[in-house]
Amino acid sequence: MHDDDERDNKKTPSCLIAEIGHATSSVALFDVADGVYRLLARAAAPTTATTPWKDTLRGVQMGINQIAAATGRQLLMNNGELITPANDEGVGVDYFAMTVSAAAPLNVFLVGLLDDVSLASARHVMSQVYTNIVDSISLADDRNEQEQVEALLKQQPDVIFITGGTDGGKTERLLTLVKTVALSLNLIQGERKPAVVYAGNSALREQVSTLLGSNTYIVDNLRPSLEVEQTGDAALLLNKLYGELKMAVLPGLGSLEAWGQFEPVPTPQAVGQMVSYFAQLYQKRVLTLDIGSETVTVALADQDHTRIYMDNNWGMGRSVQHLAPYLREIQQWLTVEMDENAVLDFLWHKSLRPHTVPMSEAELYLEQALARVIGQKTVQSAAASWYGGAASSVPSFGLLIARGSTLTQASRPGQTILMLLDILQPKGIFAVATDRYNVLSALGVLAHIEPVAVVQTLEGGALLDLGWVIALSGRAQSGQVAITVQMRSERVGKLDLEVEAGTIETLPLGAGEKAELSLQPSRRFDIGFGPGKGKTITVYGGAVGVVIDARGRPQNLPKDAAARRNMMRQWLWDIGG
Amino acid sequence: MDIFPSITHVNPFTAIKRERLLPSPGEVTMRLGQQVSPIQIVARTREQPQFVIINASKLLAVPPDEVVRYLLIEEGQTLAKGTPILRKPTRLGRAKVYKSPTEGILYHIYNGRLVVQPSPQPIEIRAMMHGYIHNLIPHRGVVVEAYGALVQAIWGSGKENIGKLKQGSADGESALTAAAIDKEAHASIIFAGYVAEAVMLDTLEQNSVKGLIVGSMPAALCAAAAGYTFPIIVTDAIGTTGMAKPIFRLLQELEGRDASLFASSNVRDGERPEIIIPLPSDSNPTPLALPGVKLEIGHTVRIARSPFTGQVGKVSRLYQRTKSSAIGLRMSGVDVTLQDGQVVYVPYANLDLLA
Repeated sequence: MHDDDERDNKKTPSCLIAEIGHATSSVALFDVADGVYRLLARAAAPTTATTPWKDTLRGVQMGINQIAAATGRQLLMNNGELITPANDEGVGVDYFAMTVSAAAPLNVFLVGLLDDVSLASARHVMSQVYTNIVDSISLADDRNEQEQVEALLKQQPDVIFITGGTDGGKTERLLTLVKTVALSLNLIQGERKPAVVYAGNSALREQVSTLLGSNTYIVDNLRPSLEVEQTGDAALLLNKLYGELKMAVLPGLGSLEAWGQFEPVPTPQAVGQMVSYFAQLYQKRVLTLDIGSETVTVALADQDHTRIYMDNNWGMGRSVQHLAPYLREIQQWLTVEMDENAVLDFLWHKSLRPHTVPMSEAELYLEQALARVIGQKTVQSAAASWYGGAASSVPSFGLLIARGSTLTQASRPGQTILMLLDILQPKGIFAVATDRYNVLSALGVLAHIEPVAVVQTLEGGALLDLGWVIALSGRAQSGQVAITVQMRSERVGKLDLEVEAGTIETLPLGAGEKAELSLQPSRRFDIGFGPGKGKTITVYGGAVGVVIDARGRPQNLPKDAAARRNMMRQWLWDIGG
Repeated sequence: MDIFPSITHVNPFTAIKRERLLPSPGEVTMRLGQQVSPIQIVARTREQPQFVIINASKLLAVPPDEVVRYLLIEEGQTLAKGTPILRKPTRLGRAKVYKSPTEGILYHIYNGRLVVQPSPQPIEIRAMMHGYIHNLIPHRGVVVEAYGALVQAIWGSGKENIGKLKQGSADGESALTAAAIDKEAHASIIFAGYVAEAVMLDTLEQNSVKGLIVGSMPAALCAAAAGYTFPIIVTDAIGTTGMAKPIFRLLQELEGRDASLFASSNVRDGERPEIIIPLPSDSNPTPLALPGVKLEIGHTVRIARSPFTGQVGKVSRLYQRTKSSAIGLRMSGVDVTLQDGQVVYVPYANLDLLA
């Protein structure tokens, strides 16, 4: 470890940050080049946590070797160990850190009094941590005690999470459930007893500790009163348990940890840190949607608060098979005709070959259709979790960042924006960027090590700016003018446009360009300032430009399949896809 | 740029080592170096059935801590089904006796509940292939070593079996035909390009086949496969694209030989279903390709995605930088020359090195 004094005298340290994902381990090298701190190189290799390697170190070394080859910088010794800290000749790096999402989720068994109160709060906690809910018991459970005990024994959870009751409320019914858990723990043979987390009525804490034994953790009651929900303490503990029980047992992770000065961070947590950083930096609400191979994460941050929602049930990898009951939903987003059996075959094949990428347009658009369904389901669940069961959308935001290869590696950037608009159906005005190089989590870690360096790295193009979106809410007959737009930019000059209801238009504004937009919606439409109220704003360009989405909210698709496919193709065409 | 493709073993003659393990500790019945046949038991143990919980407090209508007063047995005592376990005198001077609903031992008394542990059931693990005991894993099982052909698959229905290989379609691109399911089918493991209809699986079941190997099969049939008594292995893809030529050719060459099907897999741990065909060890085995091998020009690869699913070719050009694919996705890849001479740029994520 470097002393602070010593660091003050040094240049900004070079950092090598690895993200160990389910399928891919990526490595990013950050350092000063031409006087500016930036992302120097990034490489990816297969994650080697499973058979036949069973050693995460190998995949990271492969990635580092690629960076070494691309930059000409020696990073590893002959024995494969990282050279750290860097020497004066520029060999090695100063810091190594990593984020991890390759570990299996924590299997959690929920125990609570009421489904829609205590178990609902417990699920809110689980959505903030990399967990898999294997089963739950509540008062509404119609299984008898024997069956409940059998379920607990059969599922072999890593954690039993107990919650229920308000502080000062009655304890008898929760105590009955606690005793069922105690009986089950007594019957678990061998060394692998689950950890128990108690987040219920505080009056029972002592009794719970006595009944459930030494491997019991007490945290704040999730619902100290019916009006208050506090999930932070429980989420913090579960993140810690995830690190101890799941990340720490990833083969080879110990060797990687020995290279660095920092504990490995769960990837969604690092992304959350970065989203929060953006919200502070740009003084606006920031939304990140990450459709990964095994997990979908939605993170929403403003200057006061960051919310993270993770769903391990969805993903573009092995869990894509979970979409089998939603074939019709998938079909409605397709630009070409494909029968249900063909879609089902694809879901199975993709789940068996999760690393593969499309080689035909039909499969590219099919994967994008899957991303739309997965994204919509996750965003709806996130909104319901954050704002109550009736909520189905997230509030407006000023910056949207997309992650996950289906979103970020589309064949044209317009496809990415169209997917995001279809998933989120947002209202208002916002900028869009993608984490094309998959470095957002690394930047989240870097923000802890060298916060100032992150700004320079972002200015150096670590994210890909796609442009700005003006998303109208409201509805009118197609053909009617939804909004009148005048754009003034240095390169294009003045451009006037009337955008019809039900359509999408794209205005050219390249990366680095700036324009004044005068927006005047018709009285049936709202761009965030009230129906019919216009404004002049400054926008910045990107790979797509400025997108006016006048399809209205809620977005209705034609019922006729052929007409719907035609409309999809038209929208794709209009957005440059 | 170094490319490390995933590897699918399609090896006509190699040394194969396979763990045969008990689900829980038990007894290993083999000696090191011992020759084994597929049906020989290599390890055995006894599986613990579910506990039976008797809510004595509720039965007797007494508080939990009073249950012990009425108990006729002690913790650890062996019980037969019907053994009296509780006795509570009634006001009329008679007593009500409760009997054990199951045999076992009284394992635990907690909170007024009696927990009875039924007697364990035997579990036996067989070798499932001809070979030698290469290694003993104390209390868990053995490693069987065999020489022969090995084919790794992408999906299995989750069972194991042995049988003689029998060709069921004209080639790897064709469907299994009813004509192939003749009187010899009952002892056979049938291999074919693909199966597209459930009725064909029903016919195989009626003919008591030992197993089925197909290049591809639709998802709807895969979902129903667990309902059949024989194991099913899919080598290439979900759908009806057929079987990769090198795999079909290898199975064809070995028709009539005993094959072992291991149709279970654990995708999370990277385990795959396998077909093992033991062969006489009278020549030098080709070592299995090691993980982390770099892709090189001349390597035989299989493509995993449409429109080339299951097609096999040779790597003909490596690229140092990413390149746009035919549909505009920019990624790392290689040129593959297919067997018909067509050259295709394939993202390396879609390649399997066949070795």
